[in-house]
Amino acid sequence: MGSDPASLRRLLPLDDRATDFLAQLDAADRQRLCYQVADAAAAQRQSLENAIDQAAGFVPGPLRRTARKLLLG
Amino acid sequence: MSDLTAHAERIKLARVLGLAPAELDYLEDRDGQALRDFRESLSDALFNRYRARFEGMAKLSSLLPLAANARLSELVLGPTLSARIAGELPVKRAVALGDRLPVAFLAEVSRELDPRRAADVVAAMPPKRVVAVALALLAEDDFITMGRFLDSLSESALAATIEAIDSDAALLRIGFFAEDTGRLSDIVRLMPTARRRGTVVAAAEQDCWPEALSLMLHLDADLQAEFGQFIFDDATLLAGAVAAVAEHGAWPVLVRLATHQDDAAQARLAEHIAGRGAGDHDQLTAAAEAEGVADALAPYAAAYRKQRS
Repeated sequence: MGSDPASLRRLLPLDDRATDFLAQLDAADRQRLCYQVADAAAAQRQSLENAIDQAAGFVPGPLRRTARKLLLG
Repeated sequence: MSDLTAHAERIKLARVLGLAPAELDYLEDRDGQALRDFRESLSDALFNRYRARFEGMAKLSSLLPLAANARLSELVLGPTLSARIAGELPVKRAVALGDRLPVAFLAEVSRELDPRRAADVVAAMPPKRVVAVALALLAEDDFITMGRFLDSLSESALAATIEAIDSDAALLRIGFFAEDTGRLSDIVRLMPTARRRGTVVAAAEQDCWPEALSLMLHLDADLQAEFGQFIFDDATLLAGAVAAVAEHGAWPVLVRLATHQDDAAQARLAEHIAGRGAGDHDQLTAAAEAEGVADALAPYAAAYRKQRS
């Protein structure tokens, strides 16, 4: 996932500034950067999920349901 | 100078990607502005992808007592998520929370913070807190992070920070990394004259002419005149500045500094350039013509011809 600009755009709402930059790179550099961006997006998603799991512990019992709604939408 | 700009941009991009800067060495031939555009787009995309979650976190954060909120930030969210959420908090709440967090953690958060999304929070931070974070960043030579916030900080915070940083070279390096150069003149005016001259001396003594020349390029005309006078009145500074201009192709900066100087100062420049060879004179003349200020350099041109005859 994310090894080329098209699959990266499915992963992240990148605009033309990003895709123009990627288009200027040679194929090897473009693929490498796409992987790095995909890894960054995955790391952010993982740290967010962990934070959401742990954040509920900081909320007093009666507010936990509200907290879950806020965090998970 | 463009090398330094691109280097700074690779460091900033590496931060967004959670990488060591060396992992982006393969982008070293990329232009600084193109890297910046890519970084801003990527930062926006990473934020927008999970915007609803960040907003939810910010709402939850507002429900908690400040002490619990501070623990949540430090122990659970960490600097990256805390930075993403900071711009979603009400300004008062964010500032109060910032007051509760350890300075070292705040410095980490500031590295991850996108000034475009948290400008109001940064502007409302009390000067004492800003100074503490600035000194923590300075201790790690993190001029890039400080430079990113120059546009957002309040004037009182900037003045207090300038006073607290005793290194003129550090001020130059911070100024070099400003995201938006439009406010540089106002910031430079907060410095006493002696410190403004100190930055030029620091450029010569601590090998930061590229940073100094870049700063001077973006200053208002009256400040360019003043910095030019500091340089043209001192033979050592003039020699160092001209050498750096020649090395980095920064002739438009030298032209702008020279146009504000009197005949005697322009004659000193002519004498120095004549001693370096015709190539430098040709570059200076071409830059003056490109800038449309050849007439203002007539005293220089006359003195140069006299030197060569």
